[in-house]
Amino acid sequence: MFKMEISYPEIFKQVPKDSDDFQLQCNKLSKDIVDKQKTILNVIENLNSYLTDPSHHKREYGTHILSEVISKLSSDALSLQELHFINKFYTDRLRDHHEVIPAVLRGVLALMSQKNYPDGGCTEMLSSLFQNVSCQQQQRGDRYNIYCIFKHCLEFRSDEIKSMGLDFVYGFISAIDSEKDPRNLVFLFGWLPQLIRTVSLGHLKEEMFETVSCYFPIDFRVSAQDSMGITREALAEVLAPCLCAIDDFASDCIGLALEKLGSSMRIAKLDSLNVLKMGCGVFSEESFLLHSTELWASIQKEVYSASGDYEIESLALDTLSAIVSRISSSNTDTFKALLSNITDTSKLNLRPDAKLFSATGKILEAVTKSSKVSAEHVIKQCIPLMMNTYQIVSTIPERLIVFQQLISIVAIYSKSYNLNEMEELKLIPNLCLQAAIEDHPQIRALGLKSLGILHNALSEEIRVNFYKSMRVYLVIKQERIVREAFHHCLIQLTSSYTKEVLPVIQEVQISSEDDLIVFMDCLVEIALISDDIFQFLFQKCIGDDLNTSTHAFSALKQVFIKQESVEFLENYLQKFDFLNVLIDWVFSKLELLNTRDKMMKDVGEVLRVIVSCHNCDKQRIIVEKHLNRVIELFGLNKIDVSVFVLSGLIVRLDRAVLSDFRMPDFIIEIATKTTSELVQVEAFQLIANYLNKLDSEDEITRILVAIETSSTNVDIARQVGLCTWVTKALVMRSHPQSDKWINLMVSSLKMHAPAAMGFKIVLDESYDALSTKSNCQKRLLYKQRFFTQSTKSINEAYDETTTAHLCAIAYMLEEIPQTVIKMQFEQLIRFISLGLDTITELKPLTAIFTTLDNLLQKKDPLMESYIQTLLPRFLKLSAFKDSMYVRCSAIMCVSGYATAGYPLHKVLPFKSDVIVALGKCLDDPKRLVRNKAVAARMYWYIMDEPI
Amino acid sequence: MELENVNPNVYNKVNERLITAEEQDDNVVDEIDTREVFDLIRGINDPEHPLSLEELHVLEESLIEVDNDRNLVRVLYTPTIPHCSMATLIGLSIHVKLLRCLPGRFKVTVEINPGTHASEHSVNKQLADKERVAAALENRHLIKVINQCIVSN
Repeated sequence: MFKMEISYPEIFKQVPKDSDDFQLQCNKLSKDIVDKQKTILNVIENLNSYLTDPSHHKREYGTHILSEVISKLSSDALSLQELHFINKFYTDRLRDHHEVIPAVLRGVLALMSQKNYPDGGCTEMLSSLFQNVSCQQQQRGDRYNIYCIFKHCLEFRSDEIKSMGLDFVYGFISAIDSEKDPRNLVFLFGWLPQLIRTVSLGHLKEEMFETVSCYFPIDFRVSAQDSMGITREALAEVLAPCLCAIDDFASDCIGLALEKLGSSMRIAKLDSLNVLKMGCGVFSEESFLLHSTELWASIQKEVYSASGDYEIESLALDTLSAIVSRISSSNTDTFKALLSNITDTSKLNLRPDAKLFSATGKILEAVTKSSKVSAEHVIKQCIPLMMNTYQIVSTIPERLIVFQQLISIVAIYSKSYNLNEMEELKLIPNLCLQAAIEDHPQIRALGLKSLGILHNALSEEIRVNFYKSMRVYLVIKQERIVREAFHHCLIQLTSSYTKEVLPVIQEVQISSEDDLIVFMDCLVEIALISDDIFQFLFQKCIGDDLNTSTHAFSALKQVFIKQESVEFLENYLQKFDFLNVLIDWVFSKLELLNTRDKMMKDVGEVLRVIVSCHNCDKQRIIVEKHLNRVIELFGLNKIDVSVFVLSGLIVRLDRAVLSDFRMPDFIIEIATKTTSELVQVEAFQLIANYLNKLDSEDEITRILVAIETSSTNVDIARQVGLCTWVTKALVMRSHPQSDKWINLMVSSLKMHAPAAMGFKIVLDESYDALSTKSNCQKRLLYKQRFFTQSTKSINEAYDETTTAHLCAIAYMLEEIPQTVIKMQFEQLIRFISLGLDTITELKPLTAIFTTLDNLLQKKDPLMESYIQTLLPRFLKLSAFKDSMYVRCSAIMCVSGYATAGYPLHKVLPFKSDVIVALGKCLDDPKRLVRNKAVAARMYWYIMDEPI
Repeated sequence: MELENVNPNVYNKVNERLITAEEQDDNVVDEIDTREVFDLIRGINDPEHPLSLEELHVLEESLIEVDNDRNLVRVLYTPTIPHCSMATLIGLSIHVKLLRCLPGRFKVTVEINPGTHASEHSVNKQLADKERVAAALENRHLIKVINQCIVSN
């Protein structure tokens, strides 16, 4: 039945232990066993000469082969009987020569993973292991294997190790005692708490604690390369749960933590606090009560002396909070004495000029947080005192400090309990209300903020009183901090008492445009909290007073921009039939709206958000329903602002939906004829949006032809504007026609210098109408292609009589990636130096300086190569008459050469020129320029001087 | 070297000068004023302590005079203790910094605040002597110390 046996010693004799062939042979043997070609006993018998050889080297080799074979077997390959036999064999082998042990351990681990591993096998194996193998004398990997055996027994054979009783505990402690390798420790500490909780430690509990606690606090300082991925923090994190694994450790653990907390080492303090905090979840309250005085004394010391160490301070406070919370339920005299101790100490420091005021406040907050009993104690003892201090102190900063602290404590209490339950707190809301109407803005802001924080605890009387002041806050312009505090308060009150706030809002009296602006700012904050308020704002938008509508639409736009959740908006808007009502209103007022292009722009943007909330089908329905109305209306009345409505409907449409609709011709007409600049730009962008998103080439050609035809009779500025946006649309989608339009843009530079700005527009990605958000096509590397193509054309068309070409290059430099600039720097340097020589406008010059300064800051070698070309030009421009900003930028670049760290021999020849030139800047009429010159000159002065 | 004044009084720094709308207007001329001169030198480091002359109240804005019409700048400084041996070095550092940072049209005078130093006159005389100042700046070791004081701000 079985194959002819071949002697394994013969085979393995030729094969080195660490070779691939060895693994191959072992795999083959395992496979044979799994396939029932052989039994494990056959293998052992065959290996007999190795396993029983007098030489321990051969025995080690034999065991190694066997262990390797077993480890490659599937977990159900061996029968109970076989495992009995092999287990006995391995148990016995643990007594072998120490060089054989590693192979035995690997085998044991593999054996234990077998499903049929016999009951009692573990006990036998562990007893032999404890008796015969001294764990700490093994190498790191073998120790790891021993720990793996323990872990395996804990996870799968816990009953056996429990029945071994203290023998196991003793053996285990002896095995792990004085382990030093951090990798093994992280592994061991990972499951040690589970082991400690599983087995009964009996009289060995102190030994176990000692064995673990000797590592505390972890002091592990190895460089990142040598640490093998293990950090001090990782070790500390796994050690802490071991120290507080069971309640029996409580006394020792608290004592140890207290001792280490007193040390001067920062990490000792942090680890101790962590252990104490963790212990609160395990140790009994008696243990903490027993040490409560020392704990309070130590933690108090840490908080008071933390001096800016935020981590220690906050951990100490958290620990205090956890401890007080743990012992709160006891309600014993010791607990009460501790609370009195805390508040008595704190009372001494509750004057705002006391150095420890802020730390004391934090301690009181931590204790208030712990439990109801402790919170009530703090409030009874300290709040009346603080309220009194607030009334007595005279300076504003001191009043602010006390009030802020007072509210922080009360806010913690009010989060979990009812403010009215405590006599001491009944006056607090009134105090906040008074503060909210004081003269000083900071106090007023704090009062408002406090009312917001305590919104749930405000009585009806207080609320009614506050609503009277609220009418003023809703319309009168306030300082920024007061405004923000009021908004916070308003949001909280509206969320809790919508029905009360709504009438106040509805009855607000607006007497000027400033009032309206303030009021709308408030509505933006609360519009989406309740339907009624949103409805109110919406009614303001579509009311008869167009001045109010202007501001209301601006507010509505902000509401939509702030709300990012598309689903939320969609549901919300459907509820109000928002879109239809809005468009109907616009149509009803269209003639009146023609002069209000700014408002209509906001309407358009609101519409964009609404359209983008819908899916393709719904978008199609919307456009079908409204597009024709807009086209008809324009045909009848020639109303320019209808372009905003159209843009609102179209710009965010999905590409598939947009392609179904022809672009209305009148947009080109508006673009070329309107007198409003806003309308004109909107029309340009809308045309560009169509051109970028349309799929049909015919339609694109039709639009382009229409544009070319209609732009022949219009002024050059419009022609250039239209050309810019068309080019942008085509370039972004890499359309074949884009080269033609780029050339048109370049040729327009000679006729109309501001055309240079168009090159910036093409590359600028911030326009919503041509963004991916509006579903536009944006091809990879389109910026690079546009830049290369246009520089080529500019190079050919360059004309010395105008600086427009150079300005165009300058604007492009600002927008294209630095890598592209670097790649083409050799061609660009000609334009850059000509630009620095001849351009006199601020913007393009600043664009060049920004680009070059970025290169300097990155110590780019190109700037080093062209120092002779650039530095004299910077120096010349440091005296540029027309603009201080050019002078500043030029000086920044001069300074950049000194700070970038270029080789001294390259920059030093320019030192005397720079010092002389910047010397003149020291007498510049503008202080900002002088400041920059002083700094730059200092850098150049000390460049080669000893420091 | 042993410190002469081990525990000096440390004062707060003034806030950074706010940039006003006038300063951003190209058509307005900003005259050099005492605050500007103070800002140039307040960050100079004390040779003994890692503190600036401002923090030690060696320099105060009220002790600086600027006369734009007559092109004069006069700075008075107060050594931390009357026997401070660093007084000359501090004066020299202030002088060097101002020479490098103020327009050439100004005549700069750096003197000890009267009555605050034992050898006030001799220090003032040294600082006013152009030749001696120039000679001092030729001294490689000295210029190194001065650079350390004036650069670290």
